[in-house]
Amino acid sequence: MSDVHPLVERPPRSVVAVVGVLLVVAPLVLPSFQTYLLTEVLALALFATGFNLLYGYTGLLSFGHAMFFGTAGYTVGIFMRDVAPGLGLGGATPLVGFLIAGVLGVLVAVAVAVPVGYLSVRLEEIYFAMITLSFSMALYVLAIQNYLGLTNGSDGFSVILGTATLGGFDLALYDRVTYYYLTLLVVAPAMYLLWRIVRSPFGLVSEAIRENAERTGALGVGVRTHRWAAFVVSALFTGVAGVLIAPLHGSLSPGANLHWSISAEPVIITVFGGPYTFIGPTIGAFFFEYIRWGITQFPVLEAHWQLIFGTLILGIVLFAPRGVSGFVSWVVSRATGGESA
Amino acid sequence: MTTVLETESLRRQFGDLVAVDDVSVAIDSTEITSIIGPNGAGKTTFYSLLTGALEPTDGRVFITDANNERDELTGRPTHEIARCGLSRAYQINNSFPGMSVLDNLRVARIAATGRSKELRTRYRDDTGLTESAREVLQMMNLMDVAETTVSNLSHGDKRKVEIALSLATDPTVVLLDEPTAGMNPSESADMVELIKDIDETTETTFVLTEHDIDMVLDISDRILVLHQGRLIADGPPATVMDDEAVTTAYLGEQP
Amino acid sequence: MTAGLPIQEILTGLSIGSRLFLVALGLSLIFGVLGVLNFAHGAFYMVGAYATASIVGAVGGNFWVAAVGAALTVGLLGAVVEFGLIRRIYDRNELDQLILTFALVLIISDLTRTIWGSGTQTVETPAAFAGNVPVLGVSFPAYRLFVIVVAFLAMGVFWYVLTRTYVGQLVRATSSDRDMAALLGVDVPRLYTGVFAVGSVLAGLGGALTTPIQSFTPALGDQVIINAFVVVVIGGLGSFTGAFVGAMLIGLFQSFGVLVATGVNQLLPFLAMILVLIFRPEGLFGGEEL
Repeated sequence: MSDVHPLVERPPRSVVAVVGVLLVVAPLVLPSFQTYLLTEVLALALFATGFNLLYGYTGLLSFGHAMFFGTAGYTVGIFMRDVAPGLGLGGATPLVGFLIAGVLGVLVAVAVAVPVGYLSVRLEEIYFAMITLSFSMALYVLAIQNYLGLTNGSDGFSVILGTATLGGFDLALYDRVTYYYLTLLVVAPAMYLLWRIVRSPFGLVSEAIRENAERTGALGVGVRTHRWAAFVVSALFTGVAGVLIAPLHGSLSPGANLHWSISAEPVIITVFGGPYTFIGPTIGAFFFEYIRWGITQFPVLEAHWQLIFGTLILGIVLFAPRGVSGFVSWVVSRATGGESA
Repeated sequence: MTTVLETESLRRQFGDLVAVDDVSVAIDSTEITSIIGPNGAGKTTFYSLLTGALEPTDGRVFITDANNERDELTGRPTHEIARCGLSRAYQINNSFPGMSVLDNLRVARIAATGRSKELRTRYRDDTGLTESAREVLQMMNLMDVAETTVSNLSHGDKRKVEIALSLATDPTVVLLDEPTAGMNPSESADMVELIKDIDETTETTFVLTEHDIDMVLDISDRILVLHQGRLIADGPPATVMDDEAVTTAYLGEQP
Repeated sequence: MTAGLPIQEILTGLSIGSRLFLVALGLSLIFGVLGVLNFAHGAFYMVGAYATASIVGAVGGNFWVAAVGAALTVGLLGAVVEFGLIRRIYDRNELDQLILTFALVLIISDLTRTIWGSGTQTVETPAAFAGNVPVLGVSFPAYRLFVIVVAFLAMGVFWYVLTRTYVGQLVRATSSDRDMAALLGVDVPRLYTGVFAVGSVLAGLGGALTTPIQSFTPALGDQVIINAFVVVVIGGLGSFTGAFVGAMLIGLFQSFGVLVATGVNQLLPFLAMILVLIFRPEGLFGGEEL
C-alpha cells in the first residue's frame, strides 16, 4: 500500500542493523525463559508473515493455516521419533536428523498446499476462508483419530532434540540459547526471502490482485494461477515456522498444532500488527507474545486472557484497522508532515 | 483497409433477452471507430463479449496483430485475450486504488512483459520497468501525480489512470468505454486531444463508446450504431448522421 | 431396527439436526439480510444454554419459562451487539467483520466462564416430555421428538412470515437491495437490529432446547459454530431451506457416521463442506431467494 509511510514500509538499514545486533546479543543477557519467549516470537513472526503474504499482500484470508503449521510440525515429530534414531550418523545424528526432518516437514506442508490451494483458489472471500477451515479441520480430525497410527490421537507425543557431538564439541540442541540461535539462523534468511518476494514483480502483482482481481486479469495476468502460487509460497514459510515450534514446545498435539484456534493465531497477530506493511505481522508477534506472557504474570489477568485479547482485537478493528504499524505510520506521517492516508 | 479486430455474427442472449444480436463488424487499424446508440443498445455487453468477460451465445471474434497473425478470441479466458493484444478501459474507474499511480502502471508493464511470476528482481529498483511505466505517465500527462495514491486523485486524473492502464500493455486494439464520463468540458476536450495524439503516435487502434455526439463527430473516422443489440449503421460520420434508421432509433418513429 | 430402515438412527440424526437448524437459521438469516457472517453465533447459542440453566433454578424448575427467557435474553444481547458494534462495520470488508465477531467469541466465552464457571452444567428434562415414546416402531426419547417438532414448526413459521407477511416482504426486499429499500422508506437500521435480534433469539432458543439433551461446558460455543458454518455453507448462505436441509444432513451424518467408524461422524461434515464448496460453492439451495 503506498500510503504507508516509507520509514515504516522500508525501515532504513541502520534500524535493521541495530535490531539485528540486538537479536544476536539478546540471549547472552536475557534470563533463560525470556530467551525461550524470544525464540517463540521469531517463529510466530515467521508464521504470521508467511500467512500475511496471502492475506495482506494477495487479499485471501485463510482460516486453515494450521494445516501447514501442524503437518510440518508433526512430520518433524514423527521423523525424530521413528526414523532419526536409526540414522546411524554417530554424534551428528541429532543435528542432521533434525535438519532432514525440517526439510521434510516443509516439503510435507508444500505437498498439502498444492492440491488444497488448487481447489481453494477457485473461491473468494468468505468461501475461501471456509474451505481452508474445512481442510484444516479435516486434518485435525484425522490426527485425533490417530489415522495411520502416527499421531497418537488427542494426547499427541513429545518432540525431543538430543545433544549432537560434532568433532568432540557437544551441542545441546534442547538448550534454550542454542535453539534460539538455530531459530534465528533459519528465521532471518526466511524473512529476507519473504521480503524479496514482496518487493518482486510477483509481489506487486499479488497486491494488484488484492486491490482489483478483475482488472489484474484484464491486464493479462492469470489470476487463479498466481493466487495458487502465493498460497503455496505462504504455506512453505508457515511450514518452516511449524518445524521450529515443534521442538520448542517439546510436544505435538492436534489441539496445539492443527486446531482452528491455531489458524486464528496468525490472523490475530496480523490484525494486531497491521496487514499492510511487511513488518506488521512481526510487530504483532511481539505484542501477542509479550502480552500473553504479561498476562500469565498476574493470575487475575490470566484467567481472563480471552477477554483481554478479544477486547484488544475489537479495539483495533474498530479504531485502528491498520494495526499497530498502521498507527505508527500515521504518527510518523503527522510528525514529519508528509503525505498521509 | 487493414482489419485489426473483427466479429462474425456475434450474439449474446440472457434468457429471452437478446442483448447483442448478430453483430458483424471489421475494425480498421487506420481509423478511430466510435460505437454509439441509445441506452441499453448493447454497447457495454458488446465490449464484454470482445474481452471475454462474457461468453458469446453465438458468433466469433478475431484479432490480427502487427505481424498480420490472426487469432481467434472466442470463448477464451480474459487474461489470454488481453495477452493477444485486446485491451479495455472501463466506464467506471477500475484501477488499483490503494497503490500509487506509478505502481499501477508498473503492474500493467509487468503483466505486458510476462514477468508476473518473477521473484528475483525488485520492482522499485528495476529502471527498465520504471522507465516504461513513466513513459505511459508522460503520454497521459500524469507525471505530477506519479507517487500519489490513486484513491486520492481527482476524478479527471482517475479517468486518465484508467485509460493509462489500458494503454500500458501496448495493445493492438484498445476499447475505451465512455472515456469522458463525468468530465467537465475542458477536461473532455483535453481527453479528445490526448486520444488523437496517442492514436497518431502509436500503433494502437482506438475504439470508443460515447454519449457525447459532438465528441464522437469530432474524433471518429467511422461510426457504428447499435440499437437493441443490432448494428443499424456503419460508416463515416456524415453518412451515419444522415441515416434515417439512426434518427429513428434515437428519437423514435417519426410521424 | 425395523424392516431394514434404521429408524432409530434417522430420528437421532433429525434430533441433532433440529438443534443445529435453529442456530443455522439464525446465522443464515443474519448473513442473508445483513451480509455479516456472525462468528459469535455459537457463543450466543451457548449463552442461551447457560441462561436456561440459571433461570430454571430461579423459577422453581419451570423449563419452558427458562427456555423462553433465555432465548429473549440472547435476543437482547444480540440487539445490543448489533447496535453497539456490528453497526459500525457494515461498510467494511467481510474479513474485518469476521475478525470483529471472532473477537466477540473470545469476550463472550470469557464472560460465560466468569459468570458460570468452567464446570459441566446440566438441565433436567421437562416433566412433560420425560421418558420415551413409541415412534415408527422404535422407542425414542419424547423430548428429542419434541425438539424435532419445534424445528419443523420453526421452518414453517419462517416460511410463512417471509413469504406471506408484510414484514417478511420488507426483510426480503432489504436483503436483496438495501439502498433501494432505504429509498422506499424502510428504516434499514432498525430492520437490521431487528433481524440480528431475531437471529440471536433463534440461537438462544437452540441453546436452551439443547440443555436437557446434553451436558455442556464453555467449549460449547466453539463446537457449535463450526457445525453451524458447515450447515449454512452446504445449504447455501442466506437460504432457509438450505439451513434446514443442511442441518438435517449434518445431523444424519453424525448419527450414521458413528456406525461406520469413530471419527467418521466428525470428518464427514468437513468433507461434505469441501465437496460443496468445490462443486457448488453457493450451496445446495444457494442462489435461490431465501
